[in-house]
Amino acid sequence: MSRKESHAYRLKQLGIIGQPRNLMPGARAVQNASLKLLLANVRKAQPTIEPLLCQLGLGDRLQHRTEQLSMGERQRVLIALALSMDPELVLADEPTGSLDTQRTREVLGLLRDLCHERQMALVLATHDPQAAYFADQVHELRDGHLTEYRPDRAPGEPAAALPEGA
Amino acid sequence: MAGVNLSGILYLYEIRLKSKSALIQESFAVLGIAIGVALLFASQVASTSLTSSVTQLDTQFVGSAQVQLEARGPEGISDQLLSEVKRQPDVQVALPVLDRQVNVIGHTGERSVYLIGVNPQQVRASGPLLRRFSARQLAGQQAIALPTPLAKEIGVGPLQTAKLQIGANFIETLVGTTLGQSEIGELVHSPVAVAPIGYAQRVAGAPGKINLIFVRYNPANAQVARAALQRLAARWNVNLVPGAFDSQLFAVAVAPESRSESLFSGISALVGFMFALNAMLITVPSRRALIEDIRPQGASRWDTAKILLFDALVIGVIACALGLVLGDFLSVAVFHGTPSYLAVAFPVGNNRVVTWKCFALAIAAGLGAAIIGVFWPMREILAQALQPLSDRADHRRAWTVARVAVGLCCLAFTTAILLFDTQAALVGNIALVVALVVLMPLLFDVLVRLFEQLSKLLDGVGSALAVTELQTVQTRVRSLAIAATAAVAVFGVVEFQGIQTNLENGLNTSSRDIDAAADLWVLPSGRLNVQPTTPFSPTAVNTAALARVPGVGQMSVFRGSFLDWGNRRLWVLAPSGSLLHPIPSSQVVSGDPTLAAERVRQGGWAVLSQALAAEHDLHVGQTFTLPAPRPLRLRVAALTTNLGWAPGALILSSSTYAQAWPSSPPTAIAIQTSGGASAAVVRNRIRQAKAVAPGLVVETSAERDRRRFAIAKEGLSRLTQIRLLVLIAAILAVIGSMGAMIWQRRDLIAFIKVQGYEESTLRRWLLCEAGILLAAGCLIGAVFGLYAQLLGSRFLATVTGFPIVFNIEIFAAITSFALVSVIAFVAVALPGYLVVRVPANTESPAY
Repeated sequence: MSRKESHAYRLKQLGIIGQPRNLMPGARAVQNASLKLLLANVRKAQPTIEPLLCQLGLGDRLQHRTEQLSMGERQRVLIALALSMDPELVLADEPTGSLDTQRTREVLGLLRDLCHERQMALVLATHDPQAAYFADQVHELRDGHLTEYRPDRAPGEPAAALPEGA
Repeated sequence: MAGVNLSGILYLYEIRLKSKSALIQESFAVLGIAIGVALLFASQVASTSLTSSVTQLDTQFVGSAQVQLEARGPEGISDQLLSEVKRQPDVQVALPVLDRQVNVIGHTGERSVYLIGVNPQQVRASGPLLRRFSARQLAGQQAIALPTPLAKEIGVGPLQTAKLQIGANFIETLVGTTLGQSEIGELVHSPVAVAPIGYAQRVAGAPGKINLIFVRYNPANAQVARAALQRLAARWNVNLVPGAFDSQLFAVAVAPESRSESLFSGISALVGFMFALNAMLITVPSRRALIEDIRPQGASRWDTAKILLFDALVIGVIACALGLVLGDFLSVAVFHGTPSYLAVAFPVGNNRVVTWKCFALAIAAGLGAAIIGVFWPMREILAQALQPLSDRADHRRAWTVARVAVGLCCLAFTTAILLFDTQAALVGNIALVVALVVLMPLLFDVLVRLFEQLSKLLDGVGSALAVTELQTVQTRVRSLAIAATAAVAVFGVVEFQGIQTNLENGLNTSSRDIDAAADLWVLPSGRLNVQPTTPFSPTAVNTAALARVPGVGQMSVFRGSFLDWGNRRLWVLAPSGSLLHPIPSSQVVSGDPTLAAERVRQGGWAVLSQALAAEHDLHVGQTFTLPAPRPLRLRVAALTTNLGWAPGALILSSSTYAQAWPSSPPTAIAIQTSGGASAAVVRNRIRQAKAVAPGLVVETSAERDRRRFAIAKEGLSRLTQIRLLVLIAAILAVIGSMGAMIWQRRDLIAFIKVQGYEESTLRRWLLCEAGILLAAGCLIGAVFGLYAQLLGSRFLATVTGFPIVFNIEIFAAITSFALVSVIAFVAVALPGYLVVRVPANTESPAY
């Protein structure tokens, strides 16, 4: 993939949900969430993202700056950013790492619903076992190998690697 | 964390410095403050040196003498006055001096110096200069002594010969010795040549004449002694003035330059301070992180303040030391020059005088910038526990309102000064800078909003991101600091370039008008003899041979000299009444120029500088007594500008001059061409005819005008140097802080790249942001600078009486605006280019 193709892929087909700390400091929620849409159409970027932010429960926080948002709210801004271009694939790296249990459930639920609704694939990497309840498929990454997920596995018990192509 | 002590602070500091990036940031802050300190120190030394060099020579020369009796004319007074002074009962010491401005010509160059003739037997009463000189080298020699650097410059050494040019005459003389630093200290840089008085009288062609008598009287009987000396002074028509009177006269002469330099130094200080402050802002994120780390561990606000104060002091002290060294170098390399136009009438040296005030100001600014730079961005974090959030917001609103109110008051104050009291322009200028700084956030926001509207029309991603970033609280302090630095620099440069151009145009008009009185001028050679005030023997010009030269029309004698009147050393011009334009009509500010010229021709009338007339409460038509060697009642024909000579000028006819200055020789011959011959052709014919002595030069009015203007411009050269230095420092400040600001965005850029942004888009964002910042800052500075031009030009015109042509120098504003913006913009393109190459990444936190 050329550099140009790589940029285009990241922009249109891939959504990445990072850490809440990645947001532009000082920028408003609507500005942060419309970062990708700016590249498509500057004028329509903010009006386009607003319904999604409202759907994510941030309707009254659109004009709040990063520092004025809670960690859960920032995470939802990042979700809006990742989904803003209707990508085919969303990658989420520890999206709930800095959230409490209640917020974690809210965010994961939202993610699942939105991905179903928009027909997107979501790959979520997390250490949080409760995330498994929101996933269609769960795999365990152990000692560098992808294994079958067994929540009842005892500590130290060897795990069988998944077959090729699984 | 209970009560952090010094060892704890040191430990924290040490571990933080182990991080390479922290070390680089702190080093950059040190460098930034050092450059600010250097700029301030160098400009202070420059402005102090000029005045101090004359004062130093004066006090060193005068020693313990309380008063001096000073001749009123260049021909001096008879040394019989000395015997009378010595006969006064309370006079303890009377030291006669003959001084003349002469050219000393060596093997490799020439210099205009003050030849000081003193009595070797009596110099013990004088200051250190002559005491040391007498004890070692003076007695009995028929020679002169020169300061070593001056001797080297013109290529002569001890016991070698040099030529002295006095008027039109050349005399060969022996350089008996040269005087080094160990003998005459800092005076080694003064333009003096010392000789026994008898020898000085002989070479000057003034046997039995002296210019000054320094007198030390019995302090217990001071009143009686002074009264007796006053009576003597009145009888001999000489001035009784304080011992170190030249310093007072010089202070008046140099006032416009000093004031301008003070203003320039003030602006330099502000730019230097902002540079330092900007540099400190680079370290804000790491310091903020430190506070956020230690506060939850139990560190009180006082503990945190102590840690921050230690940081500030370390940076401040190292930066001040570095800045002083750098400033010392700058003051030697950049500001080392003497304004020649003042050297015409004063012994201006080029010694560098560094006073404790120069050090104190530079160190205070450096430490102040470090402390403010550390504490200001942290003020809210430090105060967090004291104020609830809503109060802070209210406080911020109140602070904004107060700032706007202060800014508007300052603007109103400046306008009032411009309209009603231009003399207070210095205060007005300070008020204008305060207004600029306090209104900066508001104006900046307005300009960013305007750009936001514009960017909506442009539909650009880069501009949209730039506006977003400029409106964020996190970057606001830094953005404002950068814009303010650019604004203050452009403000200073626009103001002073405008004033300087107006002044130069005025000087040009004035000198052209004076010189246009005749087509050709014959006067003693010597680069500085442009006024002209150096007398020469009438026999140096063969008038009969001159009259025979084809194209030579009417010839007339021109006389000129300097006259001390009150605290002013006036330039006296005495053109012949036969000249078509004896007074420069463009310089008349009160009275009818044609009538005034007619009256001056008649005799008994004089034209005065406005400032001089105001000092003596004189108006057109009023009578006054001119304190010349033979006091004369004159009437005021008109008032003029100071004709480019700061203390003021006086014009009377050559014949009136001869009454007041009896036996005064000519100082120039003015020649009108005839028969339509060009001045340059006639000049060549006169040279070929050898109708004038070799010590005289023949110049066309245009040549003289160019020479005079070149020397007058030298007086402004230091202003140009400071202006350029301010500009360079501002550009460096802007580049440094913008580069650092861009560099700190690496993590954010890495995250944005993950979202699919191309490097070209990110580059456009960074350049767009830099462009808005610079354009906003420079635009605000340029607008305020134009206003300040008006104020400054009016100030110089009314307070100093300089001839000024009023113009609003829009071109100067545009060039300064463009120069700072474009150079800084181009320079930040490099860090911008590098920073967008950071790999796409979501790992690191942005701040």
